Amino acid sequence: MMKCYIIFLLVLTSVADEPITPLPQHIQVNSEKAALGKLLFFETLLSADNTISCATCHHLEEGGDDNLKFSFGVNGTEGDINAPTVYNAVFNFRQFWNGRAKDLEDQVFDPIVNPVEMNNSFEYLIPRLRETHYDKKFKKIYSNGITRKNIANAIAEYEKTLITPNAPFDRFLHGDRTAISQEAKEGYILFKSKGCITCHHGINIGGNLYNKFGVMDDVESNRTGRYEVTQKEEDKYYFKVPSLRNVALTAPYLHDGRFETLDAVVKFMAHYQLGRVITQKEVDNLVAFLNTLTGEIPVNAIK
Amino acid sequence: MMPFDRNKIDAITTLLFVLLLLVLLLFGYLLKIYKDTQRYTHYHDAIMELKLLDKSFDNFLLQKATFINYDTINKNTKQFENLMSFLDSDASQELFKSKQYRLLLRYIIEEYYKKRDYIELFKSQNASLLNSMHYLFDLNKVIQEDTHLDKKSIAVANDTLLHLMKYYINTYVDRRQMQSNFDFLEHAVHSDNHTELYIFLQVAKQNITYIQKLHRIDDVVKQPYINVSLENLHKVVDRKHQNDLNIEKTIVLVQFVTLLIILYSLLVMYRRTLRIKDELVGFKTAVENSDNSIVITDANSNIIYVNDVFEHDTGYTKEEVIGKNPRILKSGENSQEFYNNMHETLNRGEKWEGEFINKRKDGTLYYEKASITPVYVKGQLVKYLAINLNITDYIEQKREVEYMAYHDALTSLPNRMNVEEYLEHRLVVAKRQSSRISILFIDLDRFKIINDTLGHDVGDELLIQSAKRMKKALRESDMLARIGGDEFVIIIESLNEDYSAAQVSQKILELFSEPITTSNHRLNVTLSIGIAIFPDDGMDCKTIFKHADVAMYKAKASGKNTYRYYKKQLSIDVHNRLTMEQTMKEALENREFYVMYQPKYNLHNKAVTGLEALVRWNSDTLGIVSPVQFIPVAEDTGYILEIGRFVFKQACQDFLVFKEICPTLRVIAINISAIQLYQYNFIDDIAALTKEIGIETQDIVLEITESHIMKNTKYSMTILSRLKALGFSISIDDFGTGHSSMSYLKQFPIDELKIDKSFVDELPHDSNDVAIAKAIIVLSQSLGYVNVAEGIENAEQEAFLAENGCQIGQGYHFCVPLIREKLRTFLQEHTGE
Repeated sequence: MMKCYIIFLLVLTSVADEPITPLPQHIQVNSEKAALGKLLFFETLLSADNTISCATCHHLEEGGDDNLKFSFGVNGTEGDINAPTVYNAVFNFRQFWNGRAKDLEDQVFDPIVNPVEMNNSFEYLIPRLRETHYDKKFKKIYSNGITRKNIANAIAEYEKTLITPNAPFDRFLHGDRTAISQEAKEGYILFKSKGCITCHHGINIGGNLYNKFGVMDDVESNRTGRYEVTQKEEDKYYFKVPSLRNVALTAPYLHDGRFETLDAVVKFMAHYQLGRVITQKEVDNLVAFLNTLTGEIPVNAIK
Repeated sequence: MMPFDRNKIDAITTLLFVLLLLVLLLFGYLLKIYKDTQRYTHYHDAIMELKLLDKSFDNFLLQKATFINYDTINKNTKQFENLMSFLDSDASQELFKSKQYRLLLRYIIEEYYKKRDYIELFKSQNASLLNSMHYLFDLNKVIQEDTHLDKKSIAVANDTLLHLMKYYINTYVDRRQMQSNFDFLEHAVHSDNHTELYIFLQVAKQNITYIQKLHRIDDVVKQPYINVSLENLHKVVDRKHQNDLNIEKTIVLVQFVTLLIILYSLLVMYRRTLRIKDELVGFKTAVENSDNSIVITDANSNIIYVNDVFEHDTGYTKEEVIGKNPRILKSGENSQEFYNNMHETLNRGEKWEGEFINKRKDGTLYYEKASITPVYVKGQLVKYLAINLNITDYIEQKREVEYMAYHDALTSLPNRMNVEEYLEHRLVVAKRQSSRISILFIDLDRFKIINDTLGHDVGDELLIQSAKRMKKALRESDMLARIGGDEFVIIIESLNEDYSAAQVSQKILELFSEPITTSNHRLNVTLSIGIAIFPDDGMDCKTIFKHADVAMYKAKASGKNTYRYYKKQLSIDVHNRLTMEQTMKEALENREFYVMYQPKYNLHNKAVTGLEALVRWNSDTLGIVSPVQFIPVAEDTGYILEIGRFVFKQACQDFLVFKEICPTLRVIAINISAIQLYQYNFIDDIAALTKEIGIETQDIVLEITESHIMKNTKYSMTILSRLKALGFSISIDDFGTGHSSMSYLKQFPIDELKIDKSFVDELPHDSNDVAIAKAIIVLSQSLGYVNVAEGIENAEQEAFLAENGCQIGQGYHFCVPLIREKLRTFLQEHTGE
């Protein structure tokens, strides 16, 4: 019995390194490409009817998403999945809820051609862009000018600048004991001891594995997650674990935006993912912790 | 200098160039090998890293029951994918071009995807399981502390958790025990209706399934597919690298060996060049120290090298002559033909040998025996090599010897051998030109006595002085030689008959009439001279010399201090002539010359139309002297000018008187000697005389001997034209005896032709004379000349000439020459008739 106990101490509570790592102040980017990517990010020409840009659904002044359950595409068509934040997306091991894009560059294509998003095609888009100032700008950077890959590359490069460092919790990790409240500190301990940490950890506090939506108890969901990609039965309802950074800003929550508050979603997670009974006090502390994960909006990058 | 030299140099240049190329090539190739190796290292490292990553995946999958930060594994998978995409890139495929490589990569990627799926599965399962196990642990804690529960249930729950954890960690579970635990707990839950125990049981049951699922992943770890394939891939890459390396090594080796061969060749050539250099140094030393002066020029004959001897021989320094043409040494003593010959020979590419007379820097001459060789390289003229030996000393010695052989050491006069050779040569010329040569043999009278009594020194001095004195009497062209002891020879070439020899002899004898002063003595020396004349006294040198010697003994025999001709008559003639010369001078002063006149008359009516003035000499000492004798002497001595002037003046004055007497008399004919004609002021002089006397020039006929004017036709033409212009008439005397050219005759301004007496003498009997006389008359008529026949001595001749159209006659038949008084009488009588 003593042996087991010791093992569990090792397993959960006495992790030598903190399971969460703070964000860097910035990461290395090609500034020319990033500048071009920024133009494209705000460019409505990317959409079929020149109404929608990336920024339409990813509000950079706020949490990097649109605070809607589902976003609206061209002609008001409604999507069927909650738009994830673009902030810190670079740190996700895969992109999209079902992880169908392996990186940022890979991610760019889908929203442009998705009928419920921009509903465009590169065959249509590229000649249009060539008629504009983009032609010159691309040629300056890319020897082959405007191509599908180069558009994605530039936007991805810009997205790398969209990181939110200096969250109170990051400062806490850096040693600033006063950066977060006592409640939040207790919340963090709960976060680890209750087992949230097993999925939400690392630099992005999540975003580095898939897990099942409803581990401990079956839950209803219109989307099937990884299954949509692999068509394997065992992948059904496996979604990419989302990042909790800036989670206070990115309501509504879950892939279908079913919860409006952190309180509700924490409770949901405790039941379905951990199978635990959780007190209101614990929920409050956890929410207090989650609120410390809001970082600084990169003002220079979004001006 | 040798043609093969140039080839070697070219070969060396080529080899050096090839060497450089090879070194560059080798360097480039080594660089390529270095890059290839670097690239290989890149692949090698990539595969090694992949292996490590694969190992890390396996380790990751074995990390059960542990909280894991998945960022690390995500980083590793991303890295694995990046490395694989590097190995799978087009460039890599292009590099290895191996089916095995491609298949291995495909296989690894497939296996990796499988493994990655397991990793994702592991991540999810592990995360969930860890939570569940933790939850179980928490529940167990609650159960253990629950006092309401029976002890057995608490113990079983605890045991169950223990088993589960063991299973979770060790992969072993006692399923029977677990099943009995579950059954017991189920029963306990039902009886106690205990919530925690219920949840504990449910979660424990679920976890068993999860753990089973997780353990299945272990099997994957046991499959070393990726690792083995990577190992194989490593071998493929390695093999490829080894192959490349082997080929590259071979190529490098070949290049290196080639390099060594070239280096060796260069070394061999360098050593050969060194040897040639040594040889050249040897040659150079030989050239520098040669007795010959050596000159090397380029193909354009500009000097590029001279040795020290050259400097010494010519007086030029090397710096002064380098770049110059050797013609700066040209003295002009060698003929142009000589140089032409040299150039022709050299241009044919042949060696030329000859002797130069060159000029030193200081202007003195020197002699060189030269050999010039054109140097050809590959058929191209590149240089001239001249090797010259200074032979000036030799030439000068030779000359001295020659001089000594041909000259008398004492007087420096030509010696016997010399004079004989000279005469031999001159005789040939004289024979061809039909000219005459006088040879004088001179012997000092009583020299032997002087020599014996006063000594050889005095004798020698006397000889030297004598030679000097004799020289004074000679012209430049005459030759004086000493042929032995006190014997001298003089050779005189002269157109002037044989008489000039006597004149020279006379002069010498006169010069010796003064005593000769030697250092201590005044000596009275007389000479005996013998004269022989070519061709009269002999046709060859030996004979003439012998005869001159004979003549000399005749002179000695006749009392010394005199000269004798070999032929006795000549001696007499010459003596007479000398006498005449001497008396002629006095005769002019004594007015011994006088003029006689012979009338010229019309052959048809016998009227006197003219007079010919004829000079006569009645010498006090010699009596009457014939003009035939004294005119040549007067011409030789120049007295003729004075005599001629006297005759001209006298005749003109007398004519004025005669004209008064005889009305038919129209002209006075005066003979003019060639000497007068060629005197520079002759024309001015006679023009002045006519004015002085008051005679018309139209009254004067100047008779000139045909042979005289034909000697110098061009000059004669000028003179005659001028005379004619002044009004004088010109008569050609002795026509037919000279060698008149008809063309000149036509051009000369002639008024009268006189048929020579010799053609008249045999008229009308000699057919030749008849023909000639007739021809002259016809010629005169056709050219419009007056024609005069001389020497008509009988009526027959007169009649013939008259019949044949001759206009005027002259001769004893009509009238002999008469002195002034007698002619006056004759004219009076004749006119009176």
